[in-house]
Amino acid sequence: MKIGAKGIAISVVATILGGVVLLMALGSWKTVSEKVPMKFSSGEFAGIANPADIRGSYSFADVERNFAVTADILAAAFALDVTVKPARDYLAKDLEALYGEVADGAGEVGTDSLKWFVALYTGLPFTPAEDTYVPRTVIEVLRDSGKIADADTLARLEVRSIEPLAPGKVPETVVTHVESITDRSIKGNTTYADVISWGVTQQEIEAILGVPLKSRTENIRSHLLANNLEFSVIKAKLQALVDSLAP
Amino acid sequence: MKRKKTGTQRIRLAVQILFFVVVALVSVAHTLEEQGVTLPFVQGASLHAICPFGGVVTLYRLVTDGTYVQKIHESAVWLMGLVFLSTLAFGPVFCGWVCPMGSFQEWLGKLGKKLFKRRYNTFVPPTVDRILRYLRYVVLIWVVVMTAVTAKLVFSNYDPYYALFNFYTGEVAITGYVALGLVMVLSLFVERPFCKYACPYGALLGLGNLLRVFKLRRNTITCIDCKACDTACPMNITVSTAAVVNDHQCISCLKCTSDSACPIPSTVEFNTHRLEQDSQEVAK
Repeated sequence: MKIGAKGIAISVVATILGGVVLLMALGSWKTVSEKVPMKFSSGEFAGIANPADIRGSYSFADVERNFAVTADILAAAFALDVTVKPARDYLAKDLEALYGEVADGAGEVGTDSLKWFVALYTGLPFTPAEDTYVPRTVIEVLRDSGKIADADTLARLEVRSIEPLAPGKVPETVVTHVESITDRSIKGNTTYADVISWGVTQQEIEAILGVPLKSRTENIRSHLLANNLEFSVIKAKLQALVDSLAP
Repeated sequence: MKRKKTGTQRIRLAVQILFFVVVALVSVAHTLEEQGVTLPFVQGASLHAICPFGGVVTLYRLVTDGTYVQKIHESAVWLMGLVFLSTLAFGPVFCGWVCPMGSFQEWLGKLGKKLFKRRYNTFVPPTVDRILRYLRYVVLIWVVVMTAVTAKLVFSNYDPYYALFNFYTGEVAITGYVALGLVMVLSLFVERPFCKYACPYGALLGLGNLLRVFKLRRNTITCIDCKACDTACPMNITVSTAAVVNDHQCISCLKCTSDSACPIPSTVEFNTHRLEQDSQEVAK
């Protein structure tokens, strides 16, 4: 049996693009992680989530879901301003954007710092990189919660600590959203409060979402992602409602 | 006759453009989504999520821990499966028809052909070239082992493909830009230099040429030994001496076939059986 260009073209497109479309229809096409870190495979912590596997894309809500530490404690430890955005919405990689290189370039506050704090707070083993630093507030939070077990750990933290952020500092990726009076289109940075201010009621929003709305100030896109809801689908329904109420 | 011959490569070009545009759109949409902008009809995903090679490098971690290497997701493993399926049927069609990095080099090569005419793609001495062709297996082993050990995408810092589609994001390492620049310059002298000498995924898929159902076959009875197939091959394979092309470098591009370069009908084809059988039956 011979095959030519048309046959190969159809087969390749059908196999690869067709396969992807089929997987999407079956709900098996996942291009983002489930945000579940790997677990310790042996020893006394076997079966417990390993802080070493926290990724930069994890939000503090993801960390809260996997480890016994709340998003508010994480925000307090890293001196993050929760009036800018809720503690749950901060990402591990925001730390790098906010602090970045410290101690004259000798170290860095970033995802590894978060791993270190989570490990110390939950009593799990983790060895930070040599250049991992933490803000002083990490030590304060650990000390106040009675989580620093020994003098050696405290001494290591003291050596690798820096001044915390001044209140109000925002990571570059976070856009403080100012509602436009004329533009009523739902975008990636629109909050539920914006939509409510355009005349949609909370009940109407919840009817579209199918889940309760806990915080009106929450960014719609982040909230939908956290609840495994399709932004484009919900956005279209909300936008139709907003448009129908336009003056 | 002439129109038919160009048609084969036009169909391949259309498929190459389709996949290049899809990958570029998905990549741009992902970058925009991170900035809070959503494109209509396009779902963004990181380049790692839609790279089938990501599925290969995460296999060890998936089997041993049940998790994925950083930045790799389920989609990459599915794509790996789909590409393997097409490879089992036709060999590395992914390289010749789908891979945007391969297409990009090929398009740059057209400029090289204009500049150097017949000298294009003949600059590397055959003895050196023969050895360099196995370099990509060294890269493959290094990438797979290092990714398994570190659980990080070690190759992304050197990957010209990642640099090509993310050059504007600030996420590309200097080494990535250097690799991309080098590939671009070399493409003006050698056809598909990255595919030939360094691509770890091409190395793996190339082994599919030993197993593919549809094989590139030459009819030794009707062949007039004009070597048009050898000249047309972008991977410098000597098609004119083989009855069946099992070379690990063949990218199933069809340039050597009777639908393209070969002047004799039904002499070089993608087929499931020996072409001499057809000639013998015709003779009877």
